[in-house]
Amino acid sequence: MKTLTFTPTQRSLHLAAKYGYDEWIINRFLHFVPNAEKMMETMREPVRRYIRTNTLKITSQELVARLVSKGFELTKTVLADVFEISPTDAQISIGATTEYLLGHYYIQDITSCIAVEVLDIRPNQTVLDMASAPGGKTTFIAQRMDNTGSIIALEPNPRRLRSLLFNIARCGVMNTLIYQMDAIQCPNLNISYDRILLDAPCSGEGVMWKDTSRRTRRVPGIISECSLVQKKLFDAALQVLKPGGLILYSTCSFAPEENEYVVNSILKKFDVEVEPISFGIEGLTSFDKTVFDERLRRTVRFYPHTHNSTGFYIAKLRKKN
Amino acid sequence: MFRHASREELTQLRRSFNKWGIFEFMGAQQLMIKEDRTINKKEVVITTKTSKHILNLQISQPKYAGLAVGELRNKKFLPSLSGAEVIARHSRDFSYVVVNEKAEGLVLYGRDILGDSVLEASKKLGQNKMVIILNQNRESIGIGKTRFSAEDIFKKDEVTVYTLFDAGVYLRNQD
Repeated sequence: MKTLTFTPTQRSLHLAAKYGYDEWIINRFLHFVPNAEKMMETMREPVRRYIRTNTLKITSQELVARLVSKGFELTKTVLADVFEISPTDAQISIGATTEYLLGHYYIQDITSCIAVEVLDIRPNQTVLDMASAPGGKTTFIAQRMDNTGSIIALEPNPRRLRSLLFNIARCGVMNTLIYQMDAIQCPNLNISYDRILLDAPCSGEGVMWKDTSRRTRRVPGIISECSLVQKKLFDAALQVLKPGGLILYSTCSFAPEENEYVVNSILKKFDVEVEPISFGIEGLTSFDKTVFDERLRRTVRFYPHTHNSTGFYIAKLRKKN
Repeated sequence: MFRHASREELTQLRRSFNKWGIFEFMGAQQLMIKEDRTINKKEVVITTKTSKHILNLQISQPKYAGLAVGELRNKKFLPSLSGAEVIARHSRDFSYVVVNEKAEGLVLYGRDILGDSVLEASKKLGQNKMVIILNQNRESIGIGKTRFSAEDIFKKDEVTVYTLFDAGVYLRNQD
């Protein structure tokens, strides 16, 4: 599938010049992002930062008290153990406190936390994390399982594997089995899972707020390449998911080709049901001339201007018995 | 490769766990040994029942499993940073020093500890012995080696504990 691009318009050219993006990116946003210009405006503001309490080591109440005493300002979010960090005159960076080094919290976007939260993970389950490094979601899964059961964490890249190991040690996680392998090979392990997290490798459009280089140095082809890999990973995941089990598909991309198109193709191929999610705004049911399965309404999107987060997409699917 | 500890290794480990005051806690954990014969290294990891069961069934070995809490070297258990944390949380009888806030920051940069910064120390500290370095919240921030025995551990203007490992490594080695 080719990445859809549109003929430049006066508006897309104007906005691209005004906000410093490639025209093709803006033009696409104008076709599916609600109030796209507001999103550009939001992405001019400082990036919002969040931390998640590692309840394996400390309670949120205790952590908040300790960080506040060091001059940080924390605000509650929709998730009980996730807090927004406001810019303050604290003498130390939030990524260098003793509490951080001791694994009392993880710096992580709220959307990544929501992805784990909605997967309904319980103690003693067997969970597959298909793209594990650097370990933000893996350590949150361990937290949800209270360090019981087993998380099979996959990561092919040795350098990223190292950061995963550091975070696992820092956060005191005991229930992982880490395999250095491409997630597409997960059926080779002969393990069936109660829950699967497929936070798929993606074009990373959604992190443009944080990483401004992504606004210009890219070509449309990257989106279609990612989409192809994502479908293959989804296929592999559904082979190893237990009947009745849940899979959470997520990307930090706005692109429908990496989100609704992928899930739509899975719905055609597998006997799965789309489960509702109580966060975000509903997924697209069409893009340009393509109409998707109605059930894609139950998938969700997050945008910087609507959720103060990176751009994110989540679909939660249950494999039928 | 990951394997179960042999009877002999278990005896050695239990003896060391007893010394560190974590005999009971470790007795309730699922332990495994990660052995690398090429460098003669035996790492001790805490894992879970489910992970252990999967490891028993698997032909392909994972790269890592569980939480590495230390090494079994010369028949003794040498705690890692994670192991030191387990000791600090679950033991009531172990070798430690408590340092002040200023020293806490320095230890996390890998610096040694001056006697002036030590607020408290366990009673039976010997010279050249391994100690867990605690902050004022009694959390493990590193592992050190004493330069003096207990009575001289507070000696002013002198390094009295060498810092061997510290939690700052998580920041220094971050990509």
